[in-house]
Amino acid sequence: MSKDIEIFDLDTTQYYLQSYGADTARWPDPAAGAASLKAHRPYLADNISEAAALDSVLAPVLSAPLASPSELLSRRILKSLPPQNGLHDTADIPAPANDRQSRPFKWRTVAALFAAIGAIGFTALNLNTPGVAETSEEAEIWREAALDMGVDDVYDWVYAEDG
Amino acid sequence: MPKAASITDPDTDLIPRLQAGDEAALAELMERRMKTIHALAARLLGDAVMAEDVAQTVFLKTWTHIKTWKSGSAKLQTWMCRVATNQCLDILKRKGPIYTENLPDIADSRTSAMDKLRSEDDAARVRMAMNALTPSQRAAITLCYFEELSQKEASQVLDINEKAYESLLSRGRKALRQILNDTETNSVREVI
Repeated sequence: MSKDIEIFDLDTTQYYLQSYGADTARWPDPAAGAASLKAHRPYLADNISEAAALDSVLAPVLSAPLASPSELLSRRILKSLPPQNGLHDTADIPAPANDRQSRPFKWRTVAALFAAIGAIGFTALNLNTPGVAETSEEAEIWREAALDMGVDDVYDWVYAEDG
Repeated sequence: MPKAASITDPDTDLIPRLQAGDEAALAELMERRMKTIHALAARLLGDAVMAEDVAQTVFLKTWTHIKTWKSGSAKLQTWMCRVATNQCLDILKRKGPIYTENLPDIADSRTSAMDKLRSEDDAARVRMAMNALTPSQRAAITLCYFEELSQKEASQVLDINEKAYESLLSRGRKALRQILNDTETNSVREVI
């Protein structure tokens, strides 16, 4: 059983020629494209040669086979596979590495340590400051020390409170 | 991921295994499709090294999203080409045109040195002209000449209908012709 080949009208043929070029193997329907170009060649000779000229420069560059990527790429991908979506029920996820669980714990410990040091320092400063203002000489020494340490604001505040 | 309809996908056999988390199935998919995905990215970007990064992203995305894949509406390869194209378009929009000679070797059977020089010169002109196109036009022209995909699949990769794809092609070819004519005129002037 033979199938009738469709022949596009002149406008459609010109439209495909401008879109896909003169090589009808690239047209959506190559057989109909070839038949249509043949039928309308007398009217489209300039368009066909123009499209063919562009194809002759583009095709060798855009269709030429390229070398395969390195073997390492596939291995690299297999090594870096993340968990698949849909596997997020904890029962399905393999136990995470130790560092993943311990990281928040470590941060909490470090944060608590810093908070404790800060609290001790602040308390010590508060305990010492009443003595600072006992004489004006001592007060001046403490003020200079505070200036050197860059905590003169705290000193002023404590001094004002005591005064 | 697309919804079910009816289409024959040559990678159907791998999908259930991928969904079960079988890494050997992914290795097999890479053996089948790596060259295509890498070549598409290399042609779109004009850079083989960046194309490797894109290929890696595509296979990792395939791996992570395969659980939601519904067979039937598109080939897995078409979806992967779409992911690759989108990645490349993002890169092109961010970085602008990439001028590089870092493309994989083209298999060349020509023996004449003059032929080879002429073809290298033509290839450089075509790459420069392609770089001057808009990213969408560049993608459409590249996909049109990309033999692993039909024209319908190429329009699916760009996520546009066939008319819009043809319009992009037509405008892209017109722009290319103009740019190539201009560069030819300029090089003739330089010789004179």
